[in-house]
Amino acid sequence: MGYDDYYFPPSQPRRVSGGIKAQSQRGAFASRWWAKRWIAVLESFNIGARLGRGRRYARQGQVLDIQIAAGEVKAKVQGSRPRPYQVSIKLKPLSAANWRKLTEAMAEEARFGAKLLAGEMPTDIEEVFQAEGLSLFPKTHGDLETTCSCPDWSNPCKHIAAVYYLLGEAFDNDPFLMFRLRGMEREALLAQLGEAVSDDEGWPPAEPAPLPDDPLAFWAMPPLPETLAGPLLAPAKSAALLRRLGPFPFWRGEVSPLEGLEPVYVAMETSALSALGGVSGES
Amino acid sequence: MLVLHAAFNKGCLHLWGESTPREEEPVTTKQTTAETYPYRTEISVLRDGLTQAGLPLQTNAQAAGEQTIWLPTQGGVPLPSSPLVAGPPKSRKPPTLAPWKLPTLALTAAHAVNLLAAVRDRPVLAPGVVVGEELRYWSEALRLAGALVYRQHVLPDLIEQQRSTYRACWTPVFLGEDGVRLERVARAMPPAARAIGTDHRAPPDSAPRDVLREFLAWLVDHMVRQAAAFPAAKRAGTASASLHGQWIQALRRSDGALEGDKTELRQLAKQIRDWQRPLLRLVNAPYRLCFRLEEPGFDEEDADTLFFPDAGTEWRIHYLLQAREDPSLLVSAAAVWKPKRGTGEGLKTLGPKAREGLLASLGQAASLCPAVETSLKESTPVGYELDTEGAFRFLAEEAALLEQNGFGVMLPASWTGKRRAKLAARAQAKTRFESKAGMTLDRVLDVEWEIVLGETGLTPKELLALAKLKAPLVRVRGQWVQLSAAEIQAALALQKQSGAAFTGRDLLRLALGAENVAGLTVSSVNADGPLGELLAGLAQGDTIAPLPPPPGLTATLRPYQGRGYAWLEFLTRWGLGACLADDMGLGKTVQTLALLQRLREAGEARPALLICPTSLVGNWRKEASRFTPQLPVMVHHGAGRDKGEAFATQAQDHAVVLSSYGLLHRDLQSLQGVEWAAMILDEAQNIKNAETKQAKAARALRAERRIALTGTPVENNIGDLWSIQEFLNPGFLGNAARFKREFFLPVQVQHDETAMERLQRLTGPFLLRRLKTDRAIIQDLPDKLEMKVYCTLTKEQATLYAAVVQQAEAVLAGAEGMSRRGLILSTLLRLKQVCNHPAQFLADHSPVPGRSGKLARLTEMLEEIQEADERTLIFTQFAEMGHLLQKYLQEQLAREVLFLHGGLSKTQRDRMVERFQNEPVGPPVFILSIKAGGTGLNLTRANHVFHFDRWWNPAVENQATDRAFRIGQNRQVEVHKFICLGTVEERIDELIERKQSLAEKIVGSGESWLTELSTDDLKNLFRLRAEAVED
Repeated sequence: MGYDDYYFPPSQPRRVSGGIKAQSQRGAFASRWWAKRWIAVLESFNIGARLGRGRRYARQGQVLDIQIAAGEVKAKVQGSRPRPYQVSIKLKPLSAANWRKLTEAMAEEARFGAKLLAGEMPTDIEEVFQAEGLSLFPKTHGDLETTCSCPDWSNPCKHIAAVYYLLGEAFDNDPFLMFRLRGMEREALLAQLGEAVSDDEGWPPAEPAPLPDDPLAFWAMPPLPETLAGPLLAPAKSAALLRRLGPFPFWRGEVSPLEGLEPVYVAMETSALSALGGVSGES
Repeated sequence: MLVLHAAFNKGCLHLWGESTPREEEPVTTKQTTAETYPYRTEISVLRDGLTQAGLPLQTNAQAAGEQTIWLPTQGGVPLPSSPLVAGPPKSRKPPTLAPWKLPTLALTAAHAVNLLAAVRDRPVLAPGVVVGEELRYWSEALRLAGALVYRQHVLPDLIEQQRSTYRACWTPVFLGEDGVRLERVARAMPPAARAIGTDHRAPPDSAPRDVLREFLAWLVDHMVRQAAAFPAAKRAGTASASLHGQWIQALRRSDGALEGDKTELRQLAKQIRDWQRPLLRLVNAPYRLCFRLEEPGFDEEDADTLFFPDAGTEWRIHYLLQAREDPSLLVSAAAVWKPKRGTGEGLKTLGPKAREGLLASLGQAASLCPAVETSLKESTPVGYELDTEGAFRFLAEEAALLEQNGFGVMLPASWTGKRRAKLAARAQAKTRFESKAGMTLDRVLDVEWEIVLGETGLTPKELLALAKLKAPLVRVRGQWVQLSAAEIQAALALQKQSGAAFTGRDLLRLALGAENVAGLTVSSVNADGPLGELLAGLAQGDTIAPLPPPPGLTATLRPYQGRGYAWLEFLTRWGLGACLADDMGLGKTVQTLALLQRLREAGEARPALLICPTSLVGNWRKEASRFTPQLPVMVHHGAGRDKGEAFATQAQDHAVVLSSYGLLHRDLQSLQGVEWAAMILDEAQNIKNAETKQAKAARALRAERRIALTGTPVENNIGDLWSIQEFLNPGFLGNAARFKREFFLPVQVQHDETAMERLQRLTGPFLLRRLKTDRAIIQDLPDKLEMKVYCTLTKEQATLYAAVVQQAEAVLAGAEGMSRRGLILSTLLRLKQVCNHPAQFLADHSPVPGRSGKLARLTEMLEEIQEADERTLIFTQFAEMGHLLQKYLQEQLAREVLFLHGGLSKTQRDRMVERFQNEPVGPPVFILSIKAGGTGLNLTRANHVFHFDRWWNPAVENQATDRAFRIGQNRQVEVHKFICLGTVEERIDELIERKQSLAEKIVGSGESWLTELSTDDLKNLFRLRAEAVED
């Protein structure tokens, strides 16, 4: 127990339900290097046991809401008082001129755009920033301006820490969040990298197909393709697609989507076989 | 006639029916408005139809009330989907789409899955209940839905429904190939499948792809929820406090409805979209990234080198984008980065975001494949180079991983080709010692193993060198071969182990590729002595050395029949079961009888058991007495048949015991009391379902030789194959579960070609199928083949027959002159009617199925003919019988059947002939009254002619036959003359055969000669003999 705890014994927060819950229920919050880098900055603050409590808060779902905007993260955290505390984390946004230089440098190698589009932070992104004397990630606590409406004199407090951990987890899945915090939106970034972007993930709309009035064409079935259904092959690891999606940002459920739905994925093979008829899944 | 249709609209499959209108209500323009669909099928009729088909809808699938369906309509009359429902309207106006109101059954997804799985490969569900094309289409599409779920290509979703309610649901993800499949399957959608609309003013015009997607999503959601309901997937769920948790719970519930604050729900739906966007964007792009592996070129000088040095060899991966709609359209990455002239069109097809898509795809692939990551250091990467090690890694691991994740992989032809060289074992078997015990597969042989790489044998030294090389890819004679360390170790171990002992049966299984040996494929088995002969003989099939026909056979075997007979003898001599699956009409009967005659002549004293359908018992007896008169034949049939000891004693006094499938099961105990020299199953497809009593009984009986005869190509439905093979060669294909796993699932469901080839290799040697269309066969076939088809009477027919004879005898005695003559002719007529069908005789419109031996046989034969896609003429002298046949056969075959009779106008007749001869998918069966259609017409599209009843005038019959057998006919014509055994039909036929010359004179004038016979002769002629009746 540290010195701080002597004066500020840990108070029990009011339990809330439906708060944002960290999906990593043990171990590190972030699995990928860029999110780890973010967490490392927090952990360099030397705020003692507040880190551990912040982690617990994050995992219990004490954080009610997080909003990320250019240069600032605003959050509400439920502490021991009835009214949730207001947390703010500010990071200096970069100027438009800075961004122009950065994106010009990034456009030279395909992998920056490729990785970002695929949901990953390019490994040596920091080198690009450093070359311009800038930084994407906060390096020291001096780069961050954090506030919380709680009575703890320590800054960061456990509430800030909780928000910070959850942000780490979110960055893990969406590297663009870091850019947003630095004042660059995803679409604008990709556009500057020379990539047209759109949020349209649907298929191009199909042309309307009027019904034929010729009876032969109307009733007949054109030849079916030879391999109609493809191989019956289950993925080597169940729920592969769900895994590929990564964690759900700012998840509030009791169990993660993967934990909750994997058993369903495992049972799909049997269900499909029984639906295909006459073939039981047991043999 | 009821044709079942199904159209999908708004998350629901609507089942509706088209029924033949009752005759008293002719379809006229006046009667038809949008409200009165002329082929209207009430819900109760639909339900009855499904129940008849054995597919009752367990619960109350809701009647959806009246739906508007748009159908091609001509002159105010909707055009039927098939001539089975009704003829075309007379109007000459061009057809247009018009809305019709009719009742539909709205199927739930659960019902739909059951129904669609059940109707697959069943064009006729029950007599008169036919599956429409779109219903068949949906049943095929079910396979795609099932495969998507099997592959777990689904993601959870939340969708907004009407009135901003939300539903948690599972949606299919069309990853990689599946996107291509979706496009292709959508292209095969019959327009009728999307003919239901909600708008009363305009016909629906949703694109097939969208309708199919919605349909698949609907079924996939259902199947996944089924999975969630499995005990293994169940979780104790407490109500979740968060919306996220509630969403997960709703995904596992059967309904999926999600309640809550609308704003929060909308936000959650957006979050889910954002979460899945990177993946979905790739999946839904109109193209996908492909990796093409290119082999290093090689010098011709190295062509003979066994081991090619692997160091520094350069392989290459090329990045390409492949269009989903047209997989043959491939655009190289270079062209995507810097479009040149000429590539513009291709790029246009890929859409405006090709660069972004390429980049994003590469980004995703980079996390699966480190080399891709490295390649991304360039600004416009187009591929990368690999050494042999890298190429091996790509082939062994990365290619599969990339494919599973939706990327395309294109490997050099030498990798995908079937003739790919691999490490294998070659067996050299030596007979241990000469023994006189004869040839049996249980004899033990010594085996030496040789290791081969492709065709090249490897010495132990070479193999060791190969092991040391540790190169996973080596080049052998110019071809790259993949080797695993485990394979090389297995090969080394096997080489050491010389002189291992195997039975002939084991070796046979190895030779046919049933098993691996110590993890290595067996490329071939060479053996000396008798086993060598067997293996060589099996490879030959019917080119096997001919065998002199047994002297006691009174028929002359055609060359191919001689070969078939020799083949049967060869296989069964080895204790191997044989399946003779020649086309109908090629003489399976005579080949089998020749074998039985030969066994007898070789001193076989035990009887052979021959099981066939009841309708064929008489035929077999007749054929046996004709071709093998020395073989005593016993018919085990009828109520008074012997059982137990008495049966065994009886049987031992005969060479052949004939019985039916029904008795095979019922009298199994009696049958087991006899030691059989051979057991033959005719129409062996009767045991295709291994679980049936008769199939089990067939397997339970022991016989030294086992033969299955069938005209249906069993090899086409491999599910049926196991049961027949298990009867023929027990254990050869493994047990049912193993067969299902190794062959049925891969072949039937996955269309796995390697499994199919393996199965063919395993079963091919035991199956002989020759087609009439084979050049080699047709050479020795006459242009016209006349066959008598002997049928039995049903009990009902026999009773009626006896009654008619009794009545006639009573009055004949006192009759004279003209009245006697009239009486005789009318009796003959009535007996012929009874032989045809009781319903014809009684003229009471009573039900048709199961009451006539002739009709049963005709239906069986027509089904076989239909499978071969051939056409048929049926002649009858009775108009009533013609009508009855037409209606019955249409319902059984689900194909239009024409009937030409005296009541039709010249124009109508001409039109029928024209349709039969020229319509592309025209009616396959044409019934003709022998008086109206026996002369003049040209019907050469038919190559089967049935004389359902007889005119007893060869000239008239031949003339009728000549409708098909004339100039313009380029196939063999088969003439089937139906005769009821033990009845006046058989008697007259015999009479004519016996006195052929006399017949020309006396019979030439029709049937009046009969009236000249004495009363005793007549009694003898009419009398019913016992064997006429079926069990």
